Amino acid sequence: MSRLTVYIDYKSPYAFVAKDPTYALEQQFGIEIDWLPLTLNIGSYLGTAKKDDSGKVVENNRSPRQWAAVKYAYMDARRYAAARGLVLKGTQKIWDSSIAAIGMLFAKASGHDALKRYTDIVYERFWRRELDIEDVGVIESVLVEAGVDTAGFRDYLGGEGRRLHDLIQEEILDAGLFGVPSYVIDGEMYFGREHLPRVRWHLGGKRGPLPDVAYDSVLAP
Amino acid sequence: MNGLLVGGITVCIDVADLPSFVAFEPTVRLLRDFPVPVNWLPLGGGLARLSARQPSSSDDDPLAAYKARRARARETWAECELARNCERLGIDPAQGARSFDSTVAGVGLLYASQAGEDEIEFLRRLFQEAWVRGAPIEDAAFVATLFDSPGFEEYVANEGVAEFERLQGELLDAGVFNSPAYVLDGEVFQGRQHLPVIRWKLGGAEGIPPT
Repeated sequence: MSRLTVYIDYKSPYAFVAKDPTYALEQQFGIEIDWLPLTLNIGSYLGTAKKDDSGKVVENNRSPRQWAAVKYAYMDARRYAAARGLVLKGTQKIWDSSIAAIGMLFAKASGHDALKRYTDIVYERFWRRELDIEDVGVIESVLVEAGVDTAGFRDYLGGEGRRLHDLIQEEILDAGLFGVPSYVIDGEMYFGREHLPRVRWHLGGKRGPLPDVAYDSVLAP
Repeated sequence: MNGLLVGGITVCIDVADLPSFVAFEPTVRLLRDFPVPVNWLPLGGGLARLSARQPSSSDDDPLAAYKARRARARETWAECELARNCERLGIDPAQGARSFDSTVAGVGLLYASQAGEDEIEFLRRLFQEAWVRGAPIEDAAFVATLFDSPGFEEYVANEGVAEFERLQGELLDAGVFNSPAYVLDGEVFQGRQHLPVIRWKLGGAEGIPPT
């Protein structure tokens, strides 16, 4: 069976919506996904902006077209999230998700189930605006809740974990990965959950013609 | 008035956009299955490439190196996806890499609608001419040969281009900036990946939706 590596970022609404259909691949194909962080630098390609609690824009460095793209992206992710009963509130600023990403790397050492619990908690609460993913203490408490022994986490965060995170970010750009969710199987890249039909086709042995892209996952809310 | 239908579906399509070509026949098949009013509108190539466009960097931009590397990563991905799209269409990557201005073709779609021409057949021939045969579809005289009725060249030379450009602004105001786009009951869907949920909605929105 081919190995599937999936790159995600907790601050991406598209990666949030892709999480459950992606986890469903593990059941369908009897595999264990290798999850890795791809920490987006959103400001570099969509500009930057900040809103206050009322939703009013208080800082703005975006062109009208960048705003159109950002608004569409949230609307698009939100409607599919709502269809599955997920809460997805638009963020009020561009978050630095690297601490949560290093938390992901740390949680991997505690096994598949702990990592899944950690990822589920971070995604669900962050998109409810109930989790400060830039707060080390908050991430540490989520790790504990997920069943991860956090001894050494702070050292890892400032040392080996940060180096590994940054190294992954360096390597993935050169490999042609730039967004999330991204799926890599046998060196072949698929970007976006619309490629899940192709990921399934690949994991299933590439039988028949290459399927088209589609948001076609049917998961009970 | 931006031509977006109320009570039907609007399909915004750019003949210069390869994913629109990939989406065209699946879209036609979907629309044949449901008896709803359909409005085909042209979307310009410049707007359609919004999401792929990288912001420019100044010399003192601390993110300049990152932006350049990310742009290269996007190019690597684009080549990969181009090959897949060409495989689906049965054309070779050199054909699929063709780049052209779709303004005249877009004006042609407006004309087809106004002149009572078969829009689907016009688009089908246009996609084939553009991507398979490499025909000069930026040339109004050539596009005119795809119509049964006379008058297209006159329309291009007079109000056609202005109407096309006005429509582009109206579509952007309506949140449509990528092709293919589908507008159903005021809801915008950009990309053919949405066809399953559009089918689900047109079919009465029963059961669990595809997501």
